[in-house]
Parts: sequence; structure tokens; C-alpha cells
Amino acid sequence: MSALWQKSFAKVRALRGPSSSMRFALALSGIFSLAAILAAWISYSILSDELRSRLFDDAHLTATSLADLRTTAGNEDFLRQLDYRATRSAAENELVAFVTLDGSLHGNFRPLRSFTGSKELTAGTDFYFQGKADRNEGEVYFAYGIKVSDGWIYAARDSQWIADSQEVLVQSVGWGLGVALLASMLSGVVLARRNAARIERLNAVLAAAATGNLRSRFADTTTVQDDIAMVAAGVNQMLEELQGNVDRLQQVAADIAHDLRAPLTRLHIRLEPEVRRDGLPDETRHALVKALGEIGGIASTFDAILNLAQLEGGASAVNLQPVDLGQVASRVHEMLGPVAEDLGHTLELSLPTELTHVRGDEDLLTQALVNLVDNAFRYCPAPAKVRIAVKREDTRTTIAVSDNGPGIPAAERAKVTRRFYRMDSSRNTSGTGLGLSLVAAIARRLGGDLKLSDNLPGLRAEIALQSEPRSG
Amino acid sequence: MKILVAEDDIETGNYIRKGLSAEGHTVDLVGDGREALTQASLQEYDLFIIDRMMPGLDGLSLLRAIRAARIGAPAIFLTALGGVNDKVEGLGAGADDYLVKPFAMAELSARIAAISRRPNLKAEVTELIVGPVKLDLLTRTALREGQAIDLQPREFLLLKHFMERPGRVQTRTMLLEAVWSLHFDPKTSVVETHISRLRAKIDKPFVVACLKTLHGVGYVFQP
Repeated sequence: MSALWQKSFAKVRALRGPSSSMRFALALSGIFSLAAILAAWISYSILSDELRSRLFDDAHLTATSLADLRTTAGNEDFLRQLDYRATRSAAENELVAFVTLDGSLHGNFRPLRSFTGSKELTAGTDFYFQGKADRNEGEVYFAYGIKVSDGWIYAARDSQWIADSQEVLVQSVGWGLGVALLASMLSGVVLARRNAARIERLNAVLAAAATGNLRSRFADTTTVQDDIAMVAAGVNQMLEELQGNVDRLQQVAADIAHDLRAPLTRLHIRLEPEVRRDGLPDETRHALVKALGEIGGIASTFDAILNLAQLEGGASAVNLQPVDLGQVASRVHEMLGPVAEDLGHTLELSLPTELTHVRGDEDLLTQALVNLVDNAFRYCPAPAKVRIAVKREDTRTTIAVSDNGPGIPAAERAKVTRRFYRMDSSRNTSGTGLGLSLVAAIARRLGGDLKLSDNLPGLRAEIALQSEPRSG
Repeated sequence: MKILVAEDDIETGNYIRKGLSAEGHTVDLVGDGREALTQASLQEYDLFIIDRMMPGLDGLSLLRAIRAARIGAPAIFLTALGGVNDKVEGLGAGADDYLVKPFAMAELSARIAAISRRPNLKAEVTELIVGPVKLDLLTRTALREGQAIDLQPREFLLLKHFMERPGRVQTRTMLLEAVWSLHFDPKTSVVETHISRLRAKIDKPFVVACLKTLHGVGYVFQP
């Protein structure tokens, strides 16, 4: 279970891109800016319409008051007022004109076509300025015309005000939006970083769990009950339950061990003195010694199952330390070399010149290697050539045991690491059927794996582990 | 020696008492952890043999309590838990040795002997002489009756281990632990092979054999 977990966990880690909260912050800022720009555009057009109608009103008012003046105060005063308005300083923004039926003009602009009521005029196209150089060619003016008995009274307002207002609007919206965007992005980044740190810690808890440490828990730094807090609470609860299961499993294993071993011990105790009894027929003594051996065998198979369960269930806390694989290989070679010789095999050792340190557990690695070499001795007919080879690749260091024996058919290779699986061809060889399962469990427990392949001819069993970066 | 045995299985307990009494030890047998703790604080013992799983007070807690009471006599755990972790845990609690059930009486007595007479490891010891064999620990050379014997490094360590404990039985598991630091059973004839090579060098060319086999028990160096 934990091996599968480790594998999928490694995959998840490899998939990491920008954190989800960072992407969320960016998307939110984008939507916010779009909304703000839309709002600005709406207020821009409302404002423009409003200003236009005000300017038309203004032109209307001016034209009407001039017409009223002519009626009430007479032509003299009217023309004087008209000239005053046409020549004062603000005259560029406010145009006035009186065009008689015969075409003579008072004022500062001349419409090319007579009109009454509100009308938009473009300078240079619809009218000319009078008494000064044509300026603001193409500018739009908002005009009003009134027909009187002997001509037309016109008044017009320029659109500069609209342009100014629009500029102010664009500028204020632009600045406001910029500041708001900056603020939202900054807070997004800060939030995203904080969440990224929390997720990183959650990852660390999961990574620890994947290597069998079910005791670490996620401690949150905030009291906010957000989605991460919910997931973290779920993870903590799951670990709690897993831990409980492992503890119960341990308890059951301990109970079984006790209940099974007590009778085995009593059996051993009853048989042992009998073996030493004088005057026993050789046949009986032989049978008793064999029975004692069987009792030992049951006990050691039981130990193997217990160890396997502890390794696979993550119940055993493995003390990961830098271990020199080359040294482990040398020790095992020295230990088993003479055994190989007595069995008629040869045991070779091949070490690289580089450092061969890995993160592991020396006892477990020794046990795995002894098991692999012992398997080779056991299943190869003498004389066999068995070879222990350590090799350092970039990030991984491998230790392989290869032989030139009968090997394992490709179809059987995946099965031989299962508990108690024994190939038909090896049924009559001694062994518990747990050796390779134990090696595979050790490899997985140390974060590596066991690979079986064809040695052409023979079997090649390789354990690959993470290299320990050379220190000092 | 005065030995306190804490074992809840009556038959196993009696068997241990009988076996150890036959070897000349004085044995007190108790059936649960609390009683063992009371007994351990009332009387002075040279050795404790404790079953790890007992009603009342389990073996681990019992030994911790004994050690907390500053009782320093050596202790051997008897246990049904044969996992590597269980051994580590047991030794961590202050046990001096660890024996997995079912065990042979001979293994238990060999381990008791090993614990009660730990070799006096003085730094200045530079040579070992037992009977006709002499080991120079500095030059790592071996002589028997004046003849130089060419030993492999591990054979030298094996011989040294025996010569530091002359006349005392060494079982297969004891040798695996002491000479090869293996805390698991390698299932191969590592010990047998090395013993036979060592014997071929130090005994075969001579008249008297020093390294003897006790069938079903172990080996002993006894010139």
C-alpha cells in the first residue's frame, strides 16, 4: 500500500506548476480590471451625453436671451450685446451670430446653411469663424438657431469641455485602476505565498507518511477555516486512522506471536531434554533433532512474516542514514565468499571508483544483499558464477546481484516477490518463499525498488536507491 | 548467581528454573510484572530474565522501572516478538541481550555466561595467549606452538572472540552478532564455513584440537 502511495505521490510532486492560489489571484485581478474598464466606459458615455445636452441647453439659452433682448430693448442694444459677446475673451468657446435675410453678418461665425433649433456643427465644414484665423478646424460645436422676422440668431458652444472632462475621467479611472490592480495583485501574491507555504508543509506531512512516518501532523498557522484547512484536517484525520490501524495490526501481530510462540516454546522445552537422554536409539534421536529443527523453522518463518508486515505497513521506523553501499557489498562478499567456495560457486565483487553512498539503513541493506546472494547460491546448480556489482549513476546508486543459473522466466518475475510464491521448479528447494518479498519490501521501504531482469543467461536482481550527495 | 525470572507461562518458567538451578544458580520465579518489580526492589539479584509480554506490567515497562530505580544488574529479554524493531526497542529499554522464543536452554545459558563474565576489555591488552595459541593484536598475527598461522581478517576476529572467552560456549547466533554484527539469521552456513576454515588452520596440522563443537549448542575454545 505504501509503495503505491509513494509512487503516486512522486507523480503528483512532478506535476507542480504555479500554485493554484497564485493563479486564482491573477485571474481575479484580470476580471476586476475588465469590470473596472467596462464601468469606466459606461460612465464615460453617460457623462458625454449629459455634457452634450447641457451644451445644447447653453446655446439654446444664449440664442433665446439674444432674441428676447432684440424684442424688448431694440436692435441697437441687441447688436451691441452681440458684438460684446463676439469679441470678449471667452469668445472662442461661445460663438454668436446674427445673419440677416440678405446675408450680412454680425458676430463671430457664419453658418454655411441656415437652420433652426439644435444642431451639431463642425468647424470648417458647417461654418466659418469670423474675424480671426480659422482655428480648431474639425472641432464640433453645439449650436442653436432662431428664425426672427429679418434673419437668424445663432449661438454655439465648443466641445472642449467634453474633451477636458473625458480626459479627467480617463486619467482618474486609469490611476485608480492601476493602484487598485497593484494592490490586488500584491495581496494576491502575499496570500498565495502564505498558502503555498501551508501546502508545502502539508506536502511534507504526506511525504513523511509515504515513507512510513504516520505520526507527523499538519499544524496550521492561521485560524481561517479555508479549503486548505479543511483538506489538512482531512489529512490529519486520515493519518490518525491509519496510525490506529497500524497500531491495531501491531497489537494483533503481537497477540498472535504470543499465542503461537507459547506452545512452540513448550514443545521445544519438552523435546530438548529428550534429545540428550542416554541410550536413545539413533533413529529416535534423529527424528527428535529434526522435529526441533522444524520448530525453529516455523519460528523463523514467523519472524520473516512479522518483519515483512512491519516493513510494508510502515510500522517500523527506519533510521535513514548515509550508508556506503560499496562497504556493505564488500562485507557481504567477504562473509559469503568462503560459503560460495564450499558450495562450488564463485562470488565476484565489482566496485566503482566513485563514492557509493546512499540514504538507507545498513542492517536492512545487508539483509537484502545476503538474501539475494543466498537465493543465487540456492537456485543455481554448482558451479555458478555470482557477481555483486555496485554502480553509481547520476542521482541513483545501484547494487546488483547477477548469476548464470537458470534465471526466472519473464512471466514469473513479477510474481516471485509475492509472499510465499514459489515457482514450480523450486518447490523442492529449501526456502520459505519470503526471501524476495523481503528484499522488495526493504527496497521500497528505503525509497527504491527491486528490479529483476534476464542476465542472459541467469537472473539479475538490482536495487536502485537515491544517491547521497557527497558531503564535505 | 542469583537470578530473577519473570515469566507468565508456568511451564516455560519452571523449565528455565530447573535448567538454571541444575547449572548451580539460585533462581526466583515470578509470574507477572508487578510481582517482579516488588521482588527486584526487595532483594539483590545478579541477573534478570524477563518475558516481554506479561500480564500486569509488561516486560519493557518493568525493565524501565528497574533501571529507573537504579538497579543496574544485567537483564535478558525473552520474547515472542522476533521483529528487528522489537529487538531495537528491547535493547533501547536497557536490556543487555534478547532471546526470541522458542529458544534452546543451551542458548540461554551461553548468553547468561556471556553477560555475567564480560571480557575485561583493557586498552593495554596487546596479546592473547590461551593454551598453545598466541594472538598478537597489534600485528594481527597468530602463532600456534611457534608456527605462524596465516588467517584472513574475519578468521582472526573469530579466533580472537573465542580466545577472549576460553571455555565458554558460543552459539551460532552469538557469533553472528559479535563477529559479523548480523542481527538476523542469514540462513546460509556463514558460521559453519568460517569455523571449519579456522579449524583447518589452527587445529588440523596439530595433535590436539582447541576449537570444539558442541552438537546442537555451539562452539567452545578449550585447549
